[in-house]
Amino acid sequence: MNSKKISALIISILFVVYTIRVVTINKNFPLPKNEYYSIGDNVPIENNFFDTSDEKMNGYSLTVLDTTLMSMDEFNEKYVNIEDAHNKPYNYVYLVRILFKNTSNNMGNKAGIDLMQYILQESAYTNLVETSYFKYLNDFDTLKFALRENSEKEVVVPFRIITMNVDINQIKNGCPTLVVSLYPSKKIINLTSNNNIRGTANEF
Amino acid sequence: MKIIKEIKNIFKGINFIISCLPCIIISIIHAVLETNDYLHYSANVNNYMSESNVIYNPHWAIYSIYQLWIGNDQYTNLSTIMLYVFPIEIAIFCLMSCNSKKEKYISFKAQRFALYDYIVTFITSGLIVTIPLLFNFILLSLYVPVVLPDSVYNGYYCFFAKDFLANVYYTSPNLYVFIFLLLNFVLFGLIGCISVSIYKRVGKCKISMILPEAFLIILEYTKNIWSKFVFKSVEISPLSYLLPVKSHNTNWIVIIAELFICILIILLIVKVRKNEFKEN
Repeated sequence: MNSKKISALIISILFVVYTIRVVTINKNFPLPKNEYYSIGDNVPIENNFFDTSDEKMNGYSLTVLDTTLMSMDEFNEKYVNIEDAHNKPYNYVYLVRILFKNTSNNMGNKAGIDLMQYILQESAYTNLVETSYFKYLNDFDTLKFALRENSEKEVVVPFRIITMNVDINQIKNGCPTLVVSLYPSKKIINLTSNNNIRGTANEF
Repeated sequence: MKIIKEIKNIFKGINFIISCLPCIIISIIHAVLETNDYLHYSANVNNYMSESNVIYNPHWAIYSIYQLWIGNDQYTNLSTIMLYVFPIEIAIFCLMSCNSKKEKYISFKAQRFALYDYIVTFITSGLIVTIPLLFNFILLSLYVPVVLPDSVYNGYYCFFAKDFLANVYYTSPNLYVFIFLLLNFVLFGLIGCISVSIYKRVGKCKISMILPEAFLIILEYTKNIWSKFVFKSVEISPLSYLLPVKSHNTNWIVIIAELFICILIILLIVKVRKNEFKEN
């Protein structure tokens, strides 16, 4: 056997060993499972959470009713004009109307929904709920709330889109999603199947 | 075919191996450090998962191979050191090849082999740079799982939507790694060619090999001035933007312009050299 054949054999063996090793490392790795939903789907939160299982959202479920992308001017005109550094005509507000239900969680105030954790995601772009707008869109002002068992509540969740951080066309033409849990399952609601998401304001 | 044969000979030669060695050692050290960190983190996750009643989100996406490989190295300075060593390695390789009788592929006076010399220099210089980077990725993949980066954790990555190639990173991270390997290959390949073209023009090995490195270092240390007044905070130094972790503020216009300038420098020197030959 000449040296070429020997080196080819060694390289083949190394390649096979490497492939087996990489497959083994990745095969049984406990990654969060992605679960996809659409607007209108009932999304049970079950035992999933964002950071720890202490969040105890089991028994809650939610349904995204619709979404609206509106310019800052439209938002100011329609709701409230908050004077701050990002209240510029080139910025946008993304409103997501969600119906929360508590079907079987009997832990009262010790458990519930924390909207501060909800994430608007579009490939590389992520954004958290805009706390300062929340109270003007809803009849209560806390982003952490619990519902009585067998009750439901409709909430409008605002995300302020600062165009310095993202190209607005990415939101308009892309596939924005709402992340409502991260682990053990990452629950993702696709927000694109809505006709209102092209820059026109929607009546709530 | 002759070029392939020549490159094969270069691979087998001691010059190439010696030139690659420093950065391969750096990439091994980096891989060992990061693997240790990862295994430590992994053991911690297993511990607190088994000991506590509370389950935690283990944030595996933060410890993905795309985040831990040397290109995205945020915590050790090994990637920066490596980027500074690359041009020196190329210079040493070209220098040794110029002076070596056995591996004298850069023909100083043989004008007819000019293009052939540049192609061989381009490929070998590019490989001197990409081999250690790729080697680091392969070594890490033996221990660290391939987890897709998730922009939900972009605060940990310090990598946001408007950064350079952010969408590619979060959707096709393999393509992202490949783009940076290719960028390194092309830019350092051209730097090798500049070294050789200066050598062919000036005839002094040391000057020709040090000049491109010196220029890169000067650009790196004056970039803040340029960025502030001319380029509006855009990263213009190759010694920064060739590492994914430092490339967030760059853009394609800057990269393509700099590649174009490199090609222009080579063509200019080659033309001057040709004219001199004609005159003689």
